[in-house]
Amino acid sequence: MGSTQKLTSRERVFEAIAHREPDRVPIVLGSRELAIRYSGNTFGSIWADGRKYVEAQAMLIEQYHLDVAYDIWCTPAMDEALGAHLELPEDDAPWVPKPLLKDKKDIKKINAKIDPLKDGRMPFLLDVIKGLRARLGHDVPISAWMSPPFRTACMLRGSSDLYLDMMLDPTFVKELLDLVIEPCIVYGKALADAGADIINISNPVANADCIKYAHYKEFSHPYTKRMFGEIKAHKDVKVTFHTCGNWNDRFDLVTEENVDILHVDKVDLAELKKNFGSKITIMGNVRTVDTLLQGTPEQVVAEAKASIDKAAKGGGFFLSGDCTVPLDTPPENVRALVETGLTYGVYNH
Amino acid sequence: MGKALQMEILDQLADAVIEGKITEIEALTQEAIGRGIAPMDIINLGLLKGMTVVGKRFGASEMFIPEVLLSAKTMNTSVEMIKPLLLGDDLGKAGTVVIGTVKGDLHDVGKNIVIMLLETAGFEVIDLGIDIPQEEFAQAVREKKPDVLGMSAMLTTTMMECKKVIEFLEKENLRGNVKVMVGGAPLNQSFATQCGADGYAEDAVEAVELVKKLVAH
Repeated sequence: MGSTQKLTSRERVFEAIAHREPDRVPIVLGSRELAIRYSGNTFGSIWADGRKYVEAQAMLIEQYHLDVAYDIWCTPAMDEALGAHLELPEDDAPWVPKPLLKDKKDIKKINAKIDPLKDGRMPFLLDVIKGLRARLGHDVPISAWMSPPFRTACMLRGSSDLYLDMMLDPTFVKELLDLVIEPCIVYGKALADAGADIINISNPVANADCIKYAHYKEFSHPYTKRMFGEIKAHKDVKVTFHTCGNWNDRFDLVTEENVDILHVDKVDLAELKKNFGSKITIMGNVRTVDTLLQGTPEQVVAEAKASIDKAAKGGGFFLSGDCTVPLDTPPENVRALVETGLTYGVYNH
Repeated sequence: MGKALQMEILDQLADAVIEGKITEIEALTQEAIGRGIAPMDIINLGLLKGMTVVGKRFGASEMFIPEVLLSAKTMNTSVEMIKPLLLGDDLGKAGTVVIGTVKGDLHDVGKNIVIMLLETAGFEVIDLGIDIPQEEFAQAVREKKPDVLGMSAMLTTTMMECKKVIEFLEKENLRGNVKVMVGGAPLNQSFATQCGADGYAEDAVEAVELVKKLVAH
């Protein structure tokens, strides 16, 4: 056994991304909900004072030894910046009740020239990232969320309508994607400028449960790839793609989208490591609902060990859940995952 | 008109639904009506026959949501033309289902596919829509007297709402009147059991089987 905690979180995370074995596996949890709940806050109290979220993340990093801090992700902040009304429930994630583009003609009304320092919730979200950097210093990487063009288009139009548009009016869909990619790039660059080291996206409306491979290749893949290409050309950030749902037939495309880390859902990590492990870092995949939320600490330990066994060798691996960790997850289950990472996840050099 | 020609038109209608030929469905429907095919036969032996194939192909990942939505839209275009010719009690004989996405949750794609397959199976479905508060679910159970109430939740942050709705139905003395089923990406059977639901379905195809089972009991 090597000794633990020789590296800072930043060194550990970036060693792993470089496909070298750090002192131990990085422990990275989608932790917005945990931070809010474990610190006794609500979404409402966080929106009222972003410093409370900064303190909540700092508490998680210190007490649970997590290696990455997360921003208060709010992907619908983009809809708001483009003109939609954003709902901020007292104890729930923010959301947009009415898609902006109920009528296709309304696309003419959208002003895509957003200013992240001024529009809607964006300046608040960026301030929180700056606050995290000031509070946590350089040693802890910060991960911030945004939305890729295809998902943004789905949210603006409503998924069902956009899916039908893909069948009946693909020219309109391309027009919308060309419109939204610019504000997506602008916001991504602003996240990097504010201090984010890692940009996160998920694209749950583009998986193999929803659309066919050819549609993904036409309407999602090139736009995500270009967006990350431009953000990375602006600043040296890493990219995490959370593949929510079934992506088995399209990992070949996703791994070509300027992505560094795949945060995977229900996938066999050994197979993924074999097929894509040389070019990508794998993050996962203790089941968040079945095991972290509903299971016992013993079950968490067993699944965390299995993830490490399958994917940790040679680096290129973060120990994580298979999705964001839900609000009511028992602390003892989170501790069981962390403890497994700290002990079983040590690399023998 | 000969039986063979009738069958040919019905097969063309089924095919139009499967292939999502929305520009051709009106003319085909008009032709079927003009040739005296009974409205219920147009629906059952043409449109729904096609939709059953769509449901199977979706279940086997041979069709995806955009294609299924287009098939549904194609079928609905035809149904709207046929509806005025139908007798009141022709539809919805298998039972009634009230369905909606829980409060704080905007996801409707999965729910809409469940609705489409339920209607294909002969159920009357009352769709409450998305972001439905507990009071609205309760009111629908009170007024529409459905056999089954279905709730959809797609987020780990909104799934707890299912439990709240069931507790509210109990409080309002409505729980005994209706079977409750839940579904959505983050849910599973043990969560459904903890919530006090009568059933959970993994996907839309399974949801139809579940409704049939719940109605039979």
